[in-house]
Amino acid sequence: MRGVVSTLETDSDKLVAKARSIPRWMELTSRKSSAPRVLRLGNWRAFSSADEVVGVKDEPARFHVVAYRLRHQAEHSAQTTWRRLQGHGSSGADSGGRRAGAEADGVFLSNGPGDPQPWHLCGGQHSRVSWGASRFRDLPGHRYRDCSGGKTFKLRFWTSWRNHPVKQLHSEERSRRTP
Amino acid sequence: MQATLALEDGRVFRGKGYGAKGEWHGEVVFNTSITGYQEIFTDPSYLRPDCSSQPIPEIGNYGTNAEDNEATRPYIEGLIVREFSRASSNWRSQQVAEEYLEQFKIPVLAEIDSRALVRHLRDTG
Repeated sequence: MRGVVSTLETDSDKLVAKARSIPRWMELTSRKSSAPRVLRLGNWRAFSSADEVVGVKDEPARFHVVAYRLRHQAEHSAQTTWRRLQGHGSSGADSGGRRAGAEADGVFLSNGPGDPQPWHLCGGQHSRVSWGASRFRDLPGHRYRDCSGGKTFKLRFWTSWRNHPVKQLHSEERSRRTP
Repeated sequence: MQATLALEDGRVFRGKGYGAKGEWHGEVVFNTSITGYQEIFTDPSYLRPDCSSQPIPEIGNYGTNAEDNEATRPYIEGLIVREFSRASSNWRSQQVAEEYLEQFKIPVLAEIDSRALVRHLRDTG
């Protein structure tokens, strides 16, 4: 819930109005012409740069989150998943996931649930592989899944050395996205 | 120093302010950890503008130190607690929590009914 903490203003009506005027945390916008698609995080930060955007389309944009710990080899694994979701390859994705992948305009690369480090901290190199889609990186994936309506929550145990596991509520599927 | 938290649904909490002075906007979230507040301050998963609310009393009483940081700087925008300790007492403490937060211009709102705030956030967002 959006809120304002103030040590200056005491008028509660004004403060509530300010709280309501805060941009929502996640807002995906697309500008026309050649400008890159911009993912705005409230009024605080935007992740995007021209070299990460392959194609620019008008809104609405649909993105698919591929949550992997983005280290060297893992990006190839994430791309394999992405291509599978788009209908290339033979197995691994259910029909719902494959449909979502096929309809997506781009892909969020995430370094996985429970490990929300920026891209440059998790050893990310510039991709040597062609994704064929708009890409955003540097993402706390579970947050984005949550914001986009995905119902996941962190499990209390079963962490091991890998990423913290999540469970999909509708399918009861438990997953640890780190390969 | 008086401080006020106003939520978008019209609920207002008034309490005492510590740390930096000013006005901060963000999304209010809560964490019910009993200890580990410094790790919460510096957890990069708070990288959106968050105000973290902790209902556990005596936040700040063991100070801060450089070894317990999860990142090079705090990621919360503000801290809301039931009770904030301005004194630290721990053999590992290197800096009082209030000084640490003030250094990064993070305000603290204390002495509010933080359990009511947590229940409110839990039920309504």
